[in-house]
Amino acid sequence: MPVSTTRSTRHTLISRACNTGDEAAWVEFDRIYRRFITYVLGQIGVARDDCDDLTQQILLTLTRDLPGYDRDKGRFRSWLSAVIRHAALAHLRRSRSEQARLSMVETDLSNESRDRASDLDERIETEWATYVASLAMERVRSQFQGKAIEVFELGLDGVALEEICARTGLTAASAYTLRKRVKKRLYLEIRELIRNLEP
Amino acid sequence: MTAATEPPTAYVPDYRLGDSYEQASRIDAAGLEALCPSYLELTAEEPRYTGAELLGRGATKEVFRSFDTRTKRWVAIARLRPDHGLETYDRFIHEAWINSSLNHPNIIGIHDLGVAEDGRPFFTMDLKGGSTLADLVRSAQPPALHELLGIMIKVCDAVAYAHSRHTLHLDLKPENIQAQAFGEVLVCDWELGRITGGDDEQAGPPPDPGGLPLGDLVDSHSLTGEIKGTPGFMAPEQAQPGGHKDARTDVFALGCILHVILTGESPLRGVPHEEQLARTRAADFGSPRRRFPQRLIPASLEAIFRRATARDPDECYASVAALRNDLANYLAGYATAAEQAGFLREAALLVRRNRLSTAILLLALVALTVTSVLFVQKLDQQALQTRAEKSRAATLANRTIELQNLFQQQSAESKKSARNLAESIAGAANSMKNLGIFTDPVKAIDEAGNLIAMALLLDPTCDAASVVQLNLKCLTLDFRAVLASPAISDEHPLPDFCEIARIAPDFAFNRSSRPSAGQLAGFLRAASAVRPERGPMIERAISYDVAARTDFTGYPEVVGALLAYVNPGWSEAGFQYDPATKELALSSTIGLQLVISRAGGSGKCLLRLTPVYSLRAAIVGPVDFAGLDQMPIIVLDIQDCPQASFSGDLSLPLLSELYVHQGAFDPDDLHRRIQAARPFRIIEVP
Repeated sequence: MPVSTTRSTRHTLISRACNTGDEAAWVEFDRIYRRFITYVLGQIGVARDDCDDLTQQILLTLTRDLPGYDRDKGRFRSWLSAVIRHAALAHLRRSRSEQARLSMVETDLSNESRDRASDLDERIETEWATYVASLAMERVRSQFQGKAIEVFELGLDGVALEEICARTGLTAASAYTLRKRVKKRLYLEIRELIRNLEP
Repeated sequence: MTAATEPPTAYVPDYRLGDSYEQASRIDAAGLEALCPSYLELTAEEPRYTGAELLGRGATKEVFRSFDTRTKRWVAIARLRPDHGLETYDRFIHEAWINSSLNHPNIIGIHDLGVAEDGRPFFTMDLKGGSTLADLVRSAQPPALHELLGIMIKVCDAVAYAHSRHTLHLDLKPENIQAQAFGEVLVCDWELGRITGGDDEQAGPPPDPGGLPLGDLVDSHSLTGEIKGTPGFMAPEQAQPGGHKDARTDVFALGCILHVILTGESPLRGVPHEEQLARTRAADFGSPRRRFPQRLIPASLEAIFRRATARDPDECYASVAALRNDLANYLAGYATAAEQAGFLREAALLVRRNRLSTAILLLALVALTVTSVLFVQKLDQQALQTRAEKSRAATLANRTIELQNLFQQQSAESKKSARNLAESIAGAANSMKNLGIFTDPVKAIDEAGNLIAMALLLDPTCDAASVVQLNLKCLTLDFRAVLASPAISDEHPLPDFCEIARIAPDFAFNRSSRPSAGQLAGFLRAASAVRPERGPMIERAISYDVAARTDFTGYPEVVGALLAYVNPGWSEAGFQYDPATKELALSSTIGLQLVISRAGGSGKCLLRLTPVYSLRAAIVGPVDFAGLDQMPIIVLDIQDCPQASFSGDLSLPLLSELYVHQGAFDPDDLHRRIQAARPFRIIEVP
């Protein structure tokens, strides 16, 4: 007679936030996504004053659509990028037509090709990957002391192992072990974030 | 959407990390398995508890042996019995809450409480070997009583702790106490446990609520009209609907557990079921000692049982701690409060628990013996008589060993009273006195006096000790103390001591205060008229006197009087001593005894008590000069002793001239018999 607890480990942040109405989970989910969306919108060129409203709007969409998200339809990142792109472009169109009315400057947005859209998606996807990895790295930094993080970052910058040893005064074996340890930790954190943030 | 007002913190992307996301998400299961298999296992969506081997089934619970896949250990998992429905869920959960609020090494620990897939509550707890106190007691080879009492004390510790947290168990019985080898003892099954209001006097900090709905717990079990508990361990108040339960309810059950330990049976074993409640209400369990005579139950433990199960609150232990203390006292050899011990019992226990100090006393005895032997050896190095003393010393040493054995026997059996030990010590004191009285009288009497004091401390009514004490007082000539002694009564007139003492009832001498020579001689003369046969004791008293005294003015008179005491019919006029030349002229018309050879005498010459360098004897009757052994005589004249003889060899170290009647002795024979430091002359007087 196997016994399992009702509070399964699959009850991740995203499911608690979107499915069960867990207030604390939603606040955390909102904080993490809001930070990303605000940043991406800024990168795309949405005006600072409009960012908050638009972010709020996208978050509402996410909250509404995430529970119905079907993993089989494709990568979550792509779907997330498409949601953000649609909202951003719709907003830009709206604001440009308003601007056009005010400034009489006509801009044709109909020329936006499929290529441009996929470029934008790719860019947002990369931003998401970088965002998740950066969040993970924040956590990893707090978990290591001494020269581990330094060795790892030098590696990220493409510095050769010999050079790293010279700069940190570590042996090759130590530097290698430290770098591997940080990397392993980073990967685990990324996976944990993906598990909690992506459906 | 409260979070919308929170401004997002500035985010600075680190594009170096972009690849990490790809790499991390691309790790396949095998890669992750290699990376962190344990973590993977913990995140796996698997049932936490696997395996369910039924360990036992109680009134409401089933307990299974299960493996906790997260903590990787076997646990006991308790589930409600399938035939128990929703109405029992809360009680089951409360049991787990009550139990987990108790953190004590002798209370079973709760690990997890939750709701299983089937929607029914469960909790997990320590999994132990599975043997209970009931199993131990009923096993083919039950542990020794003291081990079972050790378990009992741990149970008391646990329950006392629970009471300090205002928690009652209310179903204590051997089946609910897990007891393993290595002394692991766990009080289990807090199913009937309840939290008291906490307003009773056995204070202590109130339990940390820690989220426990205390009010609910208090109320949920106080359903009136219900009788819960196990007959045979239930207190009278539990057998009455709505009876008030408090710490004493658990004390009662502990008393019943003690009954099981003592007798192997519950107090109501064999009582028909329908009578059990009535017997419980009356707390009528009878005497275990009488019901189980073959068990040889110690009276003090029966007293503890009776007190724990007493009906009257004033007779009952007020707390588990009090019961525990009594059990611990029993184990440590103190009298228990329950038995109301008399003096003898206390003294016997004193000896039992002070094995060490009594051993020290015995060691001291041995040391004294050895010291005495060495002393004797040193004193009599040149003397053949050492042998006799050695053999006496050996006898005392043997006696000491016997005493030690006797004591060990007493300790082991713990049945003999302090009286026996006191008597043995008195015997040892007597031996000590007899051993040392002629060689080192002051020390011997002092040490013997100390031993007697010890013996009387153990048992003030010890007759043997009192008699030895009287003897010692006689030897120091403290007749006033002798006559005042409570040991002398009409029933025990002890004339040997009394009649001597009555000769000089005002004598109250001790080590530092001694009688004058005249007083002493006067006493001897009077004594010879009253008790002429007490030579040995008189000689001892004089021997002590010589050792204790510093002023020897006129002492030869005492020696003369002593010789007269030993030789009735002889006049002291025949004792002429010149203190200046230390020359003694001894004359007699009858035979003379120079030595008290009877048992108890020193076997040495009485004349040794005063220095005699020259002895001129004119003794008409028989006289044995072998008794002069060890005397410092330089000139010995026995020419006027027609019946003189030497019954044995003797040593006169300083002898230089020996005057004998011509033809009375063979000079060669005399040279052989008498040992001197230097060759001596034999002058044969015609």
